[in-house]
Amino acid sequence: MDKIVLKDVNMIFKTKRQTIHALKDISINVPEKSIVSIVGPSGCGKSTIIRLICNIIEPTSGDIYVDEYRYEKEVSKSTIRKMGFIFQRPNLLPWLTLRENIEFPQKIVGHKGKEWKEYVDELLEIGRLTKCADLRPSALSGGMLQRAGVLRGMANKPEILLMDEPFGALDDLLREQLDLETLDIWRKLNQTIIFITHNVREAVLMSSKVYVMTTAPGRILEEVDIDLPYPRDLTILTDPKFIGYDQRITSLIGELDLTKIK
Amino acid sequence: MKTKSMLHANKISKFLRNSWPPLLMLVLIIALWEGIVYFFNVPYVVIPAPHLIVAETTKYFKSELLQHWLATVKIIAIGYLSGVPFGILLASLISQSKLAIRAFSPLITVLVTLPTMVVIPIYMVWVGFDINYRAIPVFMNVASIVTLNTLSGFINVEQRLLDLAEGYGASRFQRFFKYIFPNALPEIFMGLRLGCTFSILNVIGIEFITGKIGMGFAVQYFSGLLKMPIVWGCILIVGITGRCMFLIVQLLEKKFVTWTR
Amino acid sequence: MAEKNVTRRALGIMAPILVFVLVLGLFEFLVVTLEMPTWLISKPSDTFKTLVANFSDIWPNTLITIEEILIGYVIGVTTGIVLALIFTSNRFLDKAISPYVIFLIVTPQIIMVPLLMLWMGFGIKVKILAVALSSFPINMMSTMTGVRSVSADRYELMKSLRATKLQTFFKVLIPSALPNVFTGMRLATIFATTSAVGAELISGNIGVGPQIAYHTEFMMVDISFAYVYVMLFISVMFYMLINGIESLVLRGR
Repeated sequence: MDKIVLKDVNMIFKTKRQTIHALKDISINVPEKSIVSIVGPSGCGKSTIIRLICNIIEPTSGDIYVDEYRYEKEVSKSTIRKMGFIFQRPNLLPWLTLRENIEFPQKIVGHKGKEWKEYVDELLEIGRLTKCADLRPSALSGGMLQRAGVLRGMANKPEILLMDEPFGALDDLLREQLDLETLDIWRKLNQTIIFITHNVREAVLMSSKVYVMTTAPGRILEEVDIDLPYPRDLTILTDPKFIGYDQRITSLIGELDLTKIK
Repeated sequence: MKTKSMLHANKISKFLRNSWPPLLMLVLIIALWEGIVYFFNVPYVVIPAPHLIVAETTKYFKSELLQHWLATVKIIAIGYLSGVPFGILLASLISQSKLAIRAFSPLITVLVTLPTMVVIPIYMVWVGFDINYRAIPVFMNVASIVTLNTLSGFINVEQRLLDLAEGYGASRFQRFFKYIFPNALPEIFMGLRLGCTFSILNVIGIEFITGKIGMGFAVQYFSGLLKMPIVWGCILIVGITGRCMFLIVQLLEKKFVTWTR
Repeated sequence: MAEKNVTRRALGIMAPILVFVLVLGLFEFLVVTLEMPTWLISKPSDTFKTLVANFSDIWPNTLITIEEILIGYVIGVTTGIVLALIFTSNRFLDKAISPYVIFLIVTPQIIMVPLLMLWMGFGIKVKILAVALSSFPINMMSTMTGVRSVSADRYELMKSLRATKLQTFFKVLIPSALPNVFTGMRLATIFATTSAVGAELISGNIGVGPQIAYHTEFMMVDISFAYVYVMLFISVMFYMLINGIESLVLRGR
């Protein structure tokens, strides 16, 4: 079954001075328990798509389905709360400790009790942040904050993870490490993940399907199925199939980028 | 491509779009005010109607109020325009040495928190009635707040910026003028804005207590004569004067601090 | 190396104290050598003696002024914060009110005292109201700025969790705006103290202001100076108090 479906979704932003057609006829199918990536140049609307899924904004036209439930004007709380959103910038609250930041979604939704607290401890352990759990964000490095942001997205044990370029600001080594950790967690928890990135290698490494987008207006150029087995590790980077996918997707984006330069 | 005239037109339309809520509010308030005074028959001594305020104030403006207003503005100008450069200069000097900063910061904080009105009665006795002496407490107050804020701006330069300067081999002089000073401008302008408020507060306060000229005195004088519409008019004039002063600072800020929203 | 650090730290603490001592010393020195008349100015040593001797008279009057400042400040600050929260909740109200807030900040509220006297007489209420009127605009402005500066990121976080409006208000909006609120509160202390004494001088018969005026008029400047020192001390303590509360509430940020 497809966990998330977008059908002919359009997003038009109207300001008093101009009309921006951000997304045009977007159709996406995300199978259950899979990792699907969306890649594309800056400004193509990738972040807009996951914000639509999380109902942070509403589409101008088109349908969104989650678990075959169609989004109406008022999307049910229970649907939204199946999702964990992970932001591009860590976006942690500076007056809370790391632990309190990760617990924050639980507090909002009302998940109380020992098992939820223990889950937070588990997450801290997975993210190797147990030692800094009682420190505040101002005392921590960028990499740690990013990791904390990802853990926070998982605090409510969501079935769906929406990750908006979560490792974008980090160096390559750290990014690869975190990619593998994410795959590891995914293997254990079996969530459905939508992964936004502009790094093609990352997308091919992580996902079973890659949507390639272009900009002005944002639309899907191609849907690329990644036919590589799980579990994956860094050895796959030398696999000729992998390199093939990487090159193909990169050239798709590359061509378009060139034509966009005025 | 947007032409210069198009950008200009955009700015004007943005200004107009943002102006109508406050204008509407003003109209509503004045209408409400007139209404209440009329329907509840409020005596003009307690709360005068807006039209009365405007009428009486304009009537007396040329003959009496103008001289008071000029006296007030003169002292504000002298105090402010001397206090600001002095404050910036002082802060620049102090910021050069860590020891100086630590030694003098508490003193400046004390000077800022000192309620000026407390020393005015004694000061009055010292200087007599010459109104120009009123500028000195104003100068001191403005200088202290400007020094405080400017110094804070200089101190809070990010280490990154200093490293950058060092990387380019900047001399001490260059480092100060090209890196530290521009970075401190937002805080400096905060000090300038506060200086406006303090200078007006102090001048009016002094005028209430001593001398026979100035808007503060005018308020007290006309209150004594129970000419309340003029009193309200004076208060509004002071407010408008202050607002204009503030506006000038804001415009300067927009021009010099081009990198904030 | 350790010794150098210790001396440096000691110097860091000693330096400001030294400056104060020097200032007072200079003051004393000038009064003595220039042979300034005692009815015009009082040197620090005399002032302290007088302060101690007359404390039983000075303190009750000071207490009245402190009362005015504290009550007026609390009223003003609370009003400022509450009004700011109300006005920022609606885009139209926010735009409509903002220009007038600056107007209120820039108009010294002690100018309202004659009006207040007309309506309320000579009592302590006039002073308290003057203090409240002085403290509230700057606080309102700072709070409004704080509320406006809450980053869109944080609102998105709350939206992604389907948080209620109340949760967003208490868990994100207020903590985010708190630093600005404290800036306003700090500045408001300065306005409060000056307005209290100013209002007393204009309308008054009780409190520090009139006492200073009275004693200065009757050539008892040493008592006037004593009051000045006391008020200075109180103002600084008030400012430091707010700073201290701010450090406590905002620790770790």
